[in-house]
Amino acid sequence: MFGSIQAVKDLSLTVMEGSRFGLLGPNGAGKTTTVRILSGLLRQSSGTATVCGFDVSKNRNRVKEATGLLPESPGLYSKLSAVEFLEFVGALRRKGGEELHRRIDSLLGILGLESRQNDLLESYSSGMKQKVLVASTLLHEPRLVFLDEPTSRLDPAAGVLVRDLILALAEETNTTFFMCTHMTRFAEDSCDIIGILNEGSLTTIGPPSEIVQQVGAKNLEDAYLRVVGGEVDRSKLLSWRK
Amino acid sequence: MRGRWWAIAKAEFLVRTSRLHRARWILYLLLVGAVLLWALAILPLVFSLLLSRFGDAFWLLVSTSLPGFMRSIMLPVWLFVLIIPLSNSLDNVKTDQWEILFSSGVQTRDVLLGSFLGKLPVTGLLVAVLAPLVVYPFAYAYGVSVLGQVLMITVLILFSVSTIWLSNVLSTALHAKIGESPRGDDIGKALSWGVVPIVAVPAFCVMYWMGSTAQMMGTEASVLFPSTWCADVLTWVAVYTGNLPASSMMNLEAYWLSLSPMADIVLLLLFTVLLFVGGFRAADSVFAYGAGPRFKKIAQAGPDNIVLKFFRRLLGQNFGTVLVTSIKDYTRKLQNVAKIAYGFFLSVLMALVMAFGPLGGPVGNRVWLPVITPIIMGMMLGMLAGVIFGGVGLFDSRNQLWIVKSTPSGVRTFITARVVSYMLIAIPYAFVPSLIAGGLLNLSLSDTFSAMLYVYTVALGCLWVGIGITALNPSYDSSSSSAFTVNTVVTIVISMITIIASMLLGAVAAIREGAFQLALVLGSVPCFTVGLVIAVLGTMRLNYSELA
Repeated sequence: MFGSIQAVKDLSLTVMEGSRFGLLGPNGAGKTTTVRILSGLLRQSSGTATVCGFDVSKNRNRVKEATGLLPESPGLYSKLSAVEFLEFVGALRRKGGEELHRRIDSLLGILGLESRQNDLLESYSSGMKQKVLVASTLLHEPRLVFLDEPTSRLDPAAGVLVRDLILALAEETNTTFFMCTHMTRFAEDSCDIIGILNEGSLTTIGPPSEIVQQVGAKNLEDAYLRVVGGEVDRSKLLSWRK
Repeated sequence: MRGRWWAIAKAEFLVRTSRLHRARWILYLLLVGAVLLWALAILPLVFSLLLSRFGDAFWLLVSTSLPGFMRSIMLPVWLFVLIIPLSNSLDNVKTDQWEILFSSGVQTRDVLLGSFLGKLPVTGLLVAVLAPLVVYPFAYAYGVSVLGQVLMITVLILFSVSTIWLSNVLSTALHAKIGESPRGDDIGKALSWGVVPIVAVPAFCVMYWMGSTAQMMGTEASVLFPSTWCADVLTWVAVYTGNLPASSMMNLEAYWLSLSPMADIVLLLLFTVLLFVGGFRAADSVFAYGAGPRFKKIAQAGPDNIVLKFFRRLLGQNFGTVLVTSIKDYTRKLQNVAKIAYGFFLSVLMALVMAFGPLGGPVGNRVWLPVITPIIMGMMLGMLAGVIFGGVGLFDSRNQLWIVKSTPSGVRTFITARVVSYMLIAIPYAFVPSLIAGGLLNLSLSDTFSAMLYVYTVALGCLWVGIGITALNPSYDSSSSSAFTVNTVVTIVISMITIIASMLLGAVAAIREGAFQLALVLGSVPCFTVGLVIAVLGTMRLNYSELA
């Protein structure tokens, strides 16, 4: 609840271990609030939730140990380099030594940042900052990863890279992904289950192909528009010129 | 149709009065009314009361040295009107909106004129408050006619407008220069602190050494300052439209006024015209935004120095890393270095004022100095520590807080590391000015040492207050947010109250125990304790999960 606005209501959801779940919805639908509750950052006003076997109300620290969170916008330290920032996040998660540095090198290499790893983050583009955040989320090898709009600042190539990284990690390490996005194409390519959240309520859930079939749409974007509305009335578009 | 500058001026006015919200026009008119009341009713009443209280002899004395005082006062007032808006604008360097303007075919001179006109209504109010303070002493001392007063105010308005224009040109040029750099915001904030001493030094001189400053301003060298031309024009107008006897007028002219009235007027007019013409002509070259190829110098992080390596080893790889990160994050920001330098400057200046200002002589320096030096420096550095180490430095953004909060026990580790890193940075912050003051004032080694200790403990208490308050009400990176203003005021008030309480406790301990140095250090206990409690409360509040 934010004042008199109910951000999320009657949300009942189970995400299987090792799956890639995508929460689709328009801006203000309650996606970020859901992720913040599940990752132990916010308290829900009512109801219960269990993440990786831990109650989010009672075992916040255990939930945080088991999960990683990529926030909606980059909250990096402008005066640190990528390596220094990742060392910092690693230290907060009680990781250190050679193992951490190997992990940092490997992630920065995969994300194509190794040549800029010692530059201060203030000089990074927003896409590069997003990649550093992705690296910080995966640093401690979490069992469950929450990604809030992971590709909103990335160019198409970097978006594909993140998608492949998610697919590879899910397959190889049984990591579970819980993603919030309004990029239907990205959700269709990287998620095996999708839920559509609208005005705080989960309206549709299922595999992408099933949702498309269910609403009789051409593709997921079409299905999404049919569920949440938002199709444009072309007659009104240029009415101001008359 | 009005020019494009009009739209820019309107937007600038709306931004500057945004705190007044929807009632801005009514509230602005009320403010204008209050300023008029101050200028036309309150101030004349105060001056007439002063006149009747001090008597004619005092005013005669004042009238003989008023031209010198006028020059002395005009210099800090001029610098204040020039520098303070510049400092405020540098605190928030943003050139994003320029792209919108220039892509809409707006000329740079439109930006310059529009932003200048938009600033005038607010800065003009400030001038309207200050101008009568300059005019009324003359009006009373020289019996200046109403016409003379009107002329004086006209000269002041002309001079203020040209000064505001100069401030606007400098601020726009600096924004254009640093705005595009990724470090622009940091450099701007650092400059906004760095330029303040330009105003502070003459202001302190006028406040504490008025006589010597007036004498110095009577010398030929002062003719180089534009503020002197304005002060002298005001003097000429006052002298010729007042009721001074001819002999007094001749004495004043002979002693103070080295240039003829015409020369002063010509210089002042030339200065004004040159500023406006020069500003407009330079607009396209100085403020060329986005023109030509640019090369960005990218700053890199070097390897840890020996001190950082030591802390990393001493405190373990986890806490040590978070602590070292906090030190790097703080000390790499130019604005933090500028704030610390400002604290150094102000505290040493205050110590010098106490030693050599009006209080220095009569109280007997050798007994007074070791007492007053640490107290005044502790007060100055303590209150500033709350703002310098609390303020906007704790978290850059809400998302940074989410990153820390998403880790188990992250907030506790992070805040502890922040506090410890600030305590380490506070060592040179407290020790260096104390050592400088000790050396300049020739204090004994033990007195200097106790001053260092006292200043450090008070600074620690206040920095804990600052961190705690900011943790209770995070303001993130925005120094223009209401949270930042509230935090700054609350931090200063709490710091002041605890420092005064500390001083009282110190005085009682000194009287009862007779050991002054011990009393001084023990006297910082309330500040220390209150700071610690607030810092712990802030950490608990930050750690608490908010309700969705």
